[in-house]
Amino acid sequence: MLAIIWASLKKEVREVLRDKRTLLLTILVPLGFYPAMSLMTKDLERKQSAKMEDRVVQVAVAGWGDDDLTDNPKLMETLVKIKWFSAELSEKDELLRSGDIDIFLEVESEPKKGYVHKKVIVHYFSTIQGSLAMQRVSLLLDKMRELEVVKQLGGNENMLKPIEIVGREDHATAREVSGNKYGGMGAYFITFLAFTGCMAVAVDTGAGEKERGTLEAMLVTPGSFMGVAAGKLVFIFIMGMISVLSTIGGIVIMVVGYGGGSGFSVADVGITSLLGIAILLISLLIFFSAILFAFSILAKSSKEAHVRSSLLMIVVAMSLVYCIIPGVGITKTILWVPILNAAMSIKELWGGKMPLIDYLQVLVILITLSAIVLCWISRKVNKDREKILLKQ
Amino acid sequence: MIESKQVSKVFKTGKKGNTGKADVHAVDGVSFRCEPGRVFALLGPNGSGKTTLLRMISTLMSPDKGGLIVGGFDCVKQSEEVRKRIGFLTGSAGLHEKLSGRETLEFFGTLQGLSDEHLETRISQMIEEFKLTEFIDRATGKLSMGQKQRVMIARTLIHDPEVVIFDEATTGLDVLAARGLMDIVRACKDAGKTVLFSTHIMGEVALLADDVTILHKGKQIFSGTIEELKQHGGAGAGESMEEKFISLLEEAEERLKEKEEALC
Repeated sequence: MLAIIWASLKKEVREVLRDKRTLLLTILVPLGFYPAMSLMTKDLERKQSAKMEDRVVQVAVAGWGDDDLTDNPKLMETLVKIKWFSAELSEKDELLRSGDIDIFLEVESEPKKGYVHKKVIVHYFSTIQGSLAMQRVSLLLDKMRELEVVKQLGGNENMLKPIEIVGREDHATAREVSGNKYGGMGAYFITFLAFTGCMAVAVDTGAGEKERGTLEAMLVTPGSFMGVAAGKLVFIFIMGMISVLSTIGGIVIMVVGYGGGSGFSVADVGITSLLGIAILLISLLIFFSAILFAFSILAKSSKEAHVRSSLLMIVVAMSLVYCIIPGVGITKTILWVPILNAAMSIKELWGGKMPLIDYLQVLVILITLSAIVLCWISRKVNKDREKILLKQ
Repeated sequence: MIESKQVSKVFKTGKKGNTGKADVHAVDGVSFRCEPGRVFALLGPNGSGKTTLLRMISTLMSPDKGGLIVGGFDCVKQSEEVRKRIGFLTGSAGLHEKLSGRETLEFFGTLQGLSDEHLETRISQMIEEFKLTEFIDRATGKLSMGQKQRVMIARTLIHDPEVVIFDEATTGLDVLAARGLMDIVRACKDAGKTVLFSTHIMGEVALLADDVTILHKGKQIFSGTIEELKQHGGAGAGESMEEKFISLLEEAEERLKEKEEALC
């Protein structure tokens, strides 16, 4: 039996090593995905912020006048890259729509005892550019309010800050910060790419062999089908594992290359949690291998196997979105949802917050489900061997 | 030796006919005996049940009724022993196109349970016997149809089986490759193996067979030696083999119609 499993595994490995497309999908894509994504977003972010930094925000004001702005040197610091000019209220729509201005301030002044109360309506566009202009103008208005209060208080600036925060100390460990920041994304991609790694080869191992007529040739040998199938399962598992390791490699490249300042190192996660994640991943990969091989061997053609696996991939991808929502942790309900429970557990283990009992529950669920799928498929094949294994 | 005793196989299609479920009697009470050192031809038009019968002999399917014995072993109860003794080549079989011919033979030799040493010897013999030297280490996906066919034959015979089954094995081959396959069938016969081959081409039967069974819609309409087939039907004794085959099919069709009318 072991010789058959080994021969089947060796054959699959030989085939995949000569299949550039599958290798690209299972190794290079996960390895390059994180660094490429990081490079692209960082570059875009840098270009966008430089562009916004250099931009002069155009502000038109109706009902204020500009004499009291240019007089004050403190205000002028804030006014850098803001061009402020007076306009008539009737010009508001035309100016905003023409794109000549970013913000239109509609001011109504009401004299009060000792000061003038200015009510301001800010007209802006809720686009990214408009919101950034709005931020800068809000800063200017805050400064102006501050100066007005100081003026009313007789020039004593300290009275503005009766309570002042003089320092902040962060007690979150690098691991907690990293778990919170990257754990969700990491768990998402590790889980998803584990699935796609298995899927990339699973379809061919069952349905592909059937379609090419090679399975029939194997079935007329004394080597048991269960031995051949076991070799194929091990192979699917290994490819999923390679995909996971490539994903982790990609994350490491990203952290080393672009996130060096985060202060986080894999060693911070701790050997126990890393071992926990590894055991969880192995169970998850067994589950993926079992279910994808079942899909493949039960399908009448490669096309059918592809369609079934793709549908499952969509379900997996959609359910995993939950783990990248910020602030969302594992709940008692999620513990019962296969695949998502594993991804959420990886996230929690990364951040160091996974209770042992919950972890064991997830592990037992995954192993039990894998066993159920494997028992079911072997029973089904034994019962309907002719119908399932032979090309009709 | 292969012995078939009243073998039947029914496929349940699930389609409703006038009389309930329209079951297909793919093989219906077929009996024959193939002896070592002889070539046995299974002849019949497409859909006559040849492939189903051969799949049952090679243990891929189980008969619903009757018994099948190969090399003294029961095809159902001792399927593993049967599989050790047969080589089965079908026209629809393919190759692992990313593997080379040598890797293919290694893989199938292991599945056949050959030891490493024995396997190495057999691969060398196969390379020599089927003239594979030139392309044995090339991926089979890059070989010509004839070369692929030679690798497939070597794969079928790697464990030196005592029974060799060819199911429509010349399908899709050019004249030269088909002729090459027929030479191999003869070589197997000369080596004392039991050879069973199925075809719908009468010419192949005339060239190779010692014994013939003709199937039509799952039923055995003729069984005997090739000489007996040639002598069959007094009035049509002068007919060619092909004409004889067609007239046998027509007779069977008429009998079937008469039977159906009688039932109605």
